[in-house]
Amino acid sequence: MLQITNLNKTYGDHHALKGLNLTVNKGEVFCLLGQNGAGKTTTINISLGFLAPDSGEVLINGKKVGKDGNDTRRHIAYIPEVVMLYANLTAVENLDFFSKLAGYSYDRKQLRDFLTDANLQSEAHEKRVGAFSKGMRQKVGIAIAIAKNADVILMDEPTSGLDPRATDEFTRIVKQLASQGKSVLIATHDIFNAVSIGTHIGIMKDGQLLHVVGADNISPEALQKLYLETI
Amino acid sequence: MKIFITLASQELKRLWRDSTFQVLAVFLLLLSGYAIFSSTEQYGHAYTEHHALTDTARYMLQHQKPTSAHMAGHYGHIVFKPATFLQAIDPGVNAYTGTTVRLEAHRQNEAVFIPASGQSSLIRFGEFSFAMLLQVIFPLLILFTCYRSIIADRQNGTLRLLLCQGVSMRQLITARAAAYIAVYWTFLLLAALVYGLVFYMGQHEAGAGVLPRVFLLVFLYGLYYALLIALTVYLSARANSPSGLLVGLLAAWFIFTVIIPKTAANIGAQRTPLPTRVAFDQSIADDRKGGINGHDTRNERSQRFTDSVLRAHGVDSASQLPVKLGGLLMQADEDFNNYVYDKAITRISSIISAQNRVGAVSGFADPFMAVKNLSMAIAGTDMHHHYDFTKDVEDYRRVLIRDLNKLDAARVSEFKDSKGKLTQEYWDQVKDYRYESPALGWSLANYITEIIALFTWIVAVCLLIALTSNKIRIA
Repeated sequence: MLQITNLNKTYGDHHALKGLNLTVNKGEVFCLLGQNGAGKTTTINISLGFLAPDSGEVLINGKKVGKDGNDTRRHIAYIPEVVMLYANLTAVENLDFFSKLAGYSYDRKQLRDFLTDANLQSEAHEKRVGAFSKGMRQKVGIAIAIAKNADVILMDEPTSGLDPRATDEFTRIVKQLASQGKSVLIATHDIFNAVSIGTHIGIMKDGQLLHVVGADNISPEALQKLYLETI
Repeated sequence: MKIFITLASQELKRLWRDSTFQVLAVFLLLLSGYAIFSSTEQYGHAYTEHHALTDTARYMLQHQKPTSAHMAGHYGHIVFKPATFLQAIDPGVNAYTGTTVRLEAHRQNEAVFIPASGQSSLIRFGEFSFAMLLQVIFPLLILFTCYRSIIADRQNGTLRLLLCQGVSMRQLITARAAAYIAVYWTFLLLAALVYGLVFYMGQHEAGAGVLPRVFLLVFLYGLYYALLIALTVYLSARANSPSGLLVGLLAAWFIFTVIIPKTAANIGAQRTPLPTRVAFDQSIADDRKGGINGHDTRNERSQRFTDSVLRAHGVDSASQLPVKLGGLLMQADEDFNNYVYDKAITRISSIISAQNRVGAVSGFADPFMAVKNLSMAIAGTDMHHHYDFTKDVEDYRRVLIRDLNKLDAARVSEFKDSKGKLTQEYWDQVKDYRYESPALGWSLANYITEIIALFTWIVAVCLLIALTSNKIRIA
């Protein structure tokens, strides 16, 4: 579970976050919509412990994200907009490496199963990721998140640049993760994907969360209208 | 510990597959091979030459024309600084100090035949030795291979993914540094092994106490590389721009290996200047005027000495003495000359020590200075060892001349023929000159400041990594 309470962050004169409050419960997928500079990535960075807030706090499973964030990061999986991996290692080697860092040691079959669960075709499992497309790297990133078995998953623009089929596959996997009780926070620009993937959708502007709606209660068109009115 | 091993082994795997590193490794191996080959060749040549020259000098000593003890003292003898296995690793100041000393009565000659003086100007000021490879090239390659160790992850985006797995920045820095340390220590050990093998195959004498010194050299450079690697990896974690970091590191390398050593030497020379050769010789000549001249029996001091000898023996003339007065006068001349020389050399030594203190203290600003001085000390090729050789040679000369003066003074001796000339039996029993390097403890005792400076650097870098790594900005 992810709880953000009265979070404030400034960069010089610019207020990146102004009293942000949000909660992502187990099994929920919270999509944060907003323009560039709305504060979505800052929220994720603070949640990961990469940035210190000016005030407010972030709790991961009830534990406060500290100054170095190292303790709470163990309970978080993170998928950036572009998943960058070690180009001279294979997909399996990358997954093995990151899993071991998270404290999990899997055998080769298990590692390949995770990659399969993330929809990476089996012939790519033993290939070096240097030649992988963005979508393929994204799948390895998802496999890393699955293998880590983290309670909270943070994603920053995960579908940006993915083709419709890859986006569809991605949506299916995220829903599956949520069904396993994970709390998922996604920062995105993609209104239509937010509706299909999220359980809750928040619209941010100038560091404030101005609207939170349930995805079941709103159509993509209505969300688009609300989003355009808000920003 | 598990995370540490995972991170370190992954970095090793990455390096193993990295084409840039492969090229650098081949370059390093080729350079090491060349340095080992050229320095062992030089050592082999010096070793053979030393033995041939020593044998020749010995032959000339034993087979000289029958002559009086006095003339033999003037003819003298020639001794040579031995070539040691360790000078093949670090020639130190040996290239700039002489290797051959002519021993004769009344004067202390400087070592001559300086190896560098016979070389072209390029070699004279930068001979490619194994020490140069260890002190200059290896650190440069360390900077090239390690500077991207963490900043590359920051640039690629893998840093965030790494840290998200629960890895702390401190763990990342120490593990990455450990991987590079393992690589460079392997190179170092490999080089030491090849060196030992080449040397063993050359069938040269290593000499006593060489092995602990070789181990200590490996340890010293191992420590130095660990320090450089840890610092470079830490800076790689802190930096924002790889090119900026590389430029900064190259500038630091240049300042550490060129600017500070030269500046320290200049400051030392300016603060406590040495007298010119002419002034030094003149001061000795002036001081000697106050003593006995063994060749001028009529000067006032020689007369006084003669009177005191006659009084001591209760006789009226030199012919009544049981010994020849000439030999006694020569030894008195020698004793005074030795006194003047000791005084002058003490003065010069204190000036050089003061100059060297600047270099020693600069080790706190530049670890290269501390390592360079310690390396020379361990190899036995620093100025202290050269002075020890000079002193040892002088002690040998004094015994040689004293014995000749004794024979000169003796009216009858088993080593003199009927004409008073020395027999070959005498020369046969004169001991060969053999120089033994001082013990390792003696070598290191002269460099306590450098040892403290090096450990201060190591402690400072460890503290820096331990206390500030986890505060490094990520986002």
